[in-house]
Amino acid sequence: MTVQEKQAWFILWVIFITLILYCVIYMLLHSVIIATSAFALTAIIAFAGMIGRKERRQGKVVSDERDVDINKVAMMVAYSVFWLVFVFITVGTTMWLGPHGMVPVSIIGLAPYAGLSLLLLVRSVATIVLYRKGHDA
Amino acid sequence: MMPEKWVITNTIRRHRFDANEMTQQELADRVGVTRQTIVALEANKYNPSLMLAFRIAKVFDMPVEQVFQLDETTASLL
Repeated sequence: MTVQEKQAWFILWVIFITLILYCVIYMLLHSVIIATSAFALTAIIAFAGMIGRKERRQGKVVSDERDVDINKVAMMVAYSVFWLVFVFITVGTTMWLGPHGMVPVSIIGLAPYAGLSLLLLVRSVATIVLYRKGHDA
Repeated sequence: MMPEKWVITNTIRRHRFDANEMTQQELADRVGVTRQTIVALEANKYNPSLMLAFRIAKVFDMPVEQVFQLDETTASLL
């Protein structure tokens, strides 16, 4: 497994655990604002950069042109999905609630965290699929 | 009639064995890529950049056309 694939798996697990934690907190406390605090867990993603430190110290190549290509494609897929979901939610909400509808402020506060999680989730999945498709040893 | 798909194949694995049974890791270290990239190349799952193709050919001390080939069904159109 390459360092980038390991990082993708790490990020995927953090996002997955964060979403579960959000659901559990919401089910227990029925508060979107309090449940949003679960996204503080995503700060752990910063430690993904430590994966591959040992190989880097040993002077090994941890990222090459293939990794850059895969990262580019994964980012394109992630941004495309993010944009589609963003448009679907904003336009859909407007059509559903009408021009005079109201959205709770707590939902607005959740939006950036949900967007970031979606971006990272799709990017990680795309990265893993692209590596697996290449039958990585 | 233009082919639908251009495919680049390679004989890296054979040349590796011919070069004193060079391992994938050794080849990867010499051309500056990860072993996983060499695995993907040998499985024809990845097309290398021009620079990488030339570096691999230089390791085996042969022209790049001897290491990488365009699929025969398309070569005649060139």
